Amino acid sequence: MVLGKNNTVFDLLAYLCSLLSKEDERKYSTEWAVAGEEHVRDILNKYKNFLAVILNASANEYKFTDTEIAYLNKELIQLKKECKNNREDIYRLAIEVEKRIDMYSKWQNRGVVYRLEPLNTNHKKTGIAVYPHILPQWDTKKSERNRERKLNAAFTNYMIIRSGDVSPFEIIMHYWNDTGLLRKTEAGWEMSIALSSVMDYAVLETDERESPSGCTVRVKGIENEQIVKNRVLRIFDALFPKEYGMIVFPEILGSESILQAIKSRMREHPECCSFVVAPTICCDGRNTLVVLGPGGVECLRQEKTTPAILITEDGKNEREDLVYGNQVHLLITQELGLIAFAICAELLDPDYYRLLVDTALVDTIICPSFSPGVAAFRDTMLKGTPAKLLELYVNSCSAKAVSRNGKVAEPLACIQVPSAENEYCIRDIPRECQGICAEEICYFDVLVTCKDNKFSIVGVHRRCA
Amino acid sequence: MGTYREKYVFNFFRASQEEMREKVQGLAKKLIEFIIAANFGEMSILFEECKSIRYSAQGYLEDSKVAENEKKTLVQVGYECALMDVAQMYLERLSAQNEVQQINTKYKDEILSILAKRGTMLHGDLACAIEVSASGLNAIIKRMNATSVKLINVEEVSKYKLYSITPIAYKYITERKPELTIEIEKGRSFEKEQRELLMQYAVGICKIMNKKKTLEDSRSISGKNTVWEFKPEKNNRFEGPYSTIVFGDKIGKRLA
Repeated sequence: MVLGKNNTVFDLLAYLCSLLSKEDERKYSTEWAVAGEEHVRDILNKYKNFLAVILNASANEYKFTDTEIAYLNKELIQLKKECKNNREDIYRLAIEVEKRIDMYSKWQNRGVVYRLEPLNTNHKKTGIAVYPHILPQWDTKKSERNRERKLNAAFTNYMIIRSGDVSPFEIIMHYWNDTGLLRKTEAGWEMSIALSSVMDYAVLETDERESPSGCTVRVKGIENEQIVKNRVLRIFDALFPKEYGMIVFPEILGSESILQAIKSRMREHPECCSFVVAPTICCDGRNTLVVLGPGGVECLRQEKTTPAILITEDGKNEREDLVYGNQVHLLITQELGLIAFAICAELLDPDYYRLLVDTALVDTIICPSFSPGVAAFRDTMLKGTPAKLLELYVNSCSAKAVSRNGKVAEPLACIQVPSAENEYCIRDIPRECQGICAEEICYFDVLVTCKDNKFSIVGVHRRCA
Repeated sequence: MGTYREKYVFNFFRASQEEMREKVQGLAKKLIEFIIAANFGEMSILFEECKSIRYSAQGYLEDSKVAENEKKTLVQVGYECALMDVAQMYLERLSAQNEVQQINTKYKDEILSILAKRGTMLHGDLACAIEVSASGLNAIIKRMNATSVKLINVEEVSKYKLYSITPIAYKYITERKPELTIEIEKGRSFEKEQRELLMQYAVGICKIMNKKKTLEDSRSISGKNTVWEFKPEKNNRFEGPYSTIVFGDKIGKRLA
């Protein structure tokens, strides 16, 4: 028996997809691209009744009645028996089933932001996880993803993730059941973003070791933590009342006390729809990024999955001594699509990047960093152009302490948009404070506008009084 | 036992988290459905069958070891979240309904009914079904998908366009034409009846032909004998004494 009493359309969809290998997807997607009219008609007529059952289930909490389960099981058993000869049918059937499943609507009674398990209960058995797929508020028709020879390219409201494609990582999805990041304008929308590099004189507390396996450096925290805390909170207090859609701090300059202080300020004003990517917290060998939603609600905690490799002044390689996990936390939103938060070196890991862009189909990547160089980040961001990604990157000026030339790497921040009025989709934000960071506090006030599907970026360097 | 009681009522002391969430979600959706349809009769039945859950909830709270003030706050948290969820659901349903009603084409209901009954259709077939030209259909479909609520899935396969009804449109058309659901249900069982009838017809033909053969054999007619035999065909999957059957103008296969 394929479907049990409490199984839903998602279990059925996952089962059908599991009957096809990735090679099958590719093969039949190509074949269907040149299918004949009679052939198309025959296949569609053959499964008419099967598909009528799916439409009914959508209106019934995605569940089937006992009669429908019995009918579907019979059909599925037959389908599996003839699997070798009718994989093409299965490919088409999976697409038709997905088209008949209503948009995800099981957010009731879950809270505004919550962790979302795969929608199908048979994800372990089938090796396929089904998740809602909400496109971002910009035009993705010309995205390279639409040219892929995959089921996901044909699906409308859902996507499948094969467990084999995720390994060695683990995807943890979260769902934000609200909107408010974007402000509607005539013929489009705009989003205000604040990127803060914070300061150039944070001193890291590190523990360097030489071992047979190489040199490692563990970041234990910040030596001048109180000064850094005051600085971060002063910047936050200047930014928060301006109701930015997104406030992004860099890597490493965080602590639990900074996080709690930001949370308590946000709790005073839950009406302010701002997301804050707090400065990451280095403690006990872990490097943790926390994303806060409106009201200081904790959306997710991401632990860095990829240690950085630094080259010292004397040309030695030093590995970041990190207790790293393999969980990749992603946030499903209705405005920016699927958002990933990559912590510095993670973005440069090709496996991690492929997981985000090719497997999980993220639409937005936000990357806080503490890096002596930024060229590699910029190059990676440019890879997002054909997939129509929105990407934000901010570095910390304090990273000059780990730079071989002792200088702040430029640009300090980058923004990549899906399509731009001028030739380039990536906007560099240079350092503008002329080295007077110690005396004044600065941040980058960025306005991203999307009008008639064309993006433009207006960035201003501001100083907090 | 009432249907609603079975579907939506649970005991706070015994139910699992999953069961609680499923049933509360279902109850909220059903309430919204009745409110939108102003279905006071069913709403009243739902209320009567489900009101016992309030006592289970109160009993659970009384039994809880959480501090009194904390308890009161948590109750308000739950209440507030429920109200906002219900408001959100109501707005979503109503806004979808309004969008659909704003679509201004005389073919709307007809196309949706046809797609609901016949499933996915090719562009040419749908144009034929509603008696418009192929190019005319393009404009109609564009108008039907002009709002934020898509009524028709449009997919390009090879050089053809395929149309199928979206779940939202299906809900809309079956609410407007409840007889459509029955027709579709009947269609499924009707097709089964039809297949059974055809099978009986074919079995009858087979018997007649076999009798004829027996008669011919007994008269010892010289020359070629014609034998009718039923062979399973690969793509037909019907139930019955035969695992498959060929019907229509292909009844049987003539063997030399």
